[in-house]
Amino acid sequence: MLANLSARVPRFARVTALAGFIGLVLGYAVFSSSFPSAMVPATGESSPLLVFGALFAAAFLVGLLSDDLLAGILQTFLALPIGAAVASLLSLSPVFAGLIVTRPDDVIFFTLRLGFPLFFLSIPILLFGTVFGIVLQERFQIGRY
Amino acid sequence: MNDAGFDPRSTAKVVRRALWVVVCVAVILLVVFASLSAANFTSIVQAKASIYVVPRFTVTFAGIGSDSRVGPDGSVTVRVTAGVENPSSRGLHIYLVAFSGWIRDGPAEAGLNETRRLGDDRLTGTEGEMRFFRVFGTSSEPSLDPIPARGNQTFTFDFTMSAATDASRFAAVRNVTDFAVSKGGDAATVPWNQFLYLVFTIDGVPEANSPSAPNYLRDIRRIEREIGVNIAS
Repeated sequence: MLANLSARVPRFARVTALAGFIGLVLGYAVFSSSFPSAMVPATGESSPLLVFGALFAAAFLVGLLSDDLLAGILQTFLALPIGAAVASLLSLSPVFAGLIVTRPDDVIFFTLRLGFPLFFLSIPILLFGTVFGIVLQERFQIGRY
Repeated sequence: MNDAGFDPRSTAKVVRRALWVVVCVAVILLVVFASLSAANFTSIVQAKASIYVVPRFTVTFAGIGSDSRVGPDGSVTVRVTAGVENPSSRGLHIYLVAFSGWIRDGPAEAGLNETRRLGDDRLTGTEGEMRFFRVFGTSSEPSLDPIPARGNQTFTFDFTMSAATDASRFAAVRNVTDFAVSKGGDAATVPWNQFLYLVFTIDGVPEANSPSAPNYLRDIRRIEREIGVNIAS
């Protein structure tokens, strides 16, 4: 049983790491679409094409490294709360700097409310990108060995 | 290894390793950009929260005769001195200056001018309800020197009225000051109510231009400060 468990640790670590990567991209995308003028580089408004393209590219990359379809789907759904946490952390950065200008939960709610459409739309994009990556991985036998 | 000397097992390992390197580089870049964005966002919020204005209003009358009354060729000038303190790390520009100035309308309060009594703006204070005649009400988008980051800048705005610029309003001002003189005072002792509205823009924060952009994206680069009481009805 212990051997079985230790064999699962690397797989769990891979799933967590890849979910963390997508979550980071998703959180950054949500923050950038909510406050594009605060980004580096700053823009007046975020480009949906760029945001969805970045999400798809990240999901595709993760798909190429995923163990299997189950892990890919798990990573996508695990990325959603991670993305929400990353977006919340970024939007709370003024609070961490000691500039308490509003209630922290208001900031989180504001950011997540603005980012909700992106969270919602990201699910099919991430799933499609991940599956596409897994299919290519199978086709070119990247993950066979 | 196959006949051509190609080992698919080691190639797959190399490819996977390269992909992991790409993920790691992407994570590092994301963390760097996220940190810079958080710092940028923090500096914007700091600018919005910390900037403050130290105002000073001075009212002067020109053309006062020997009887202490303001003559028909006189004028009234309100000099607004706004010291802007900017403790933030962002440079600022003044985008909009709006000023309104009211003079306390003694004749209207005494029931000597029914039109103004009905039309004046009202302010409730310690003396009860007071009536104020609006002398100035103006706004402009001037090109002024920037306010440096972690610095300050003092701006002076003069608002002048005479019979040449607005005959009817200036006549009302003269009527008010004459009333004060008739009560033993002088033009300079008549109370005023001033309201200054300043809009600043934060340097380096682009504006959302599309018509469908939400309001908060337009407002994020702007800082509004109001000084005084706006009693306009």
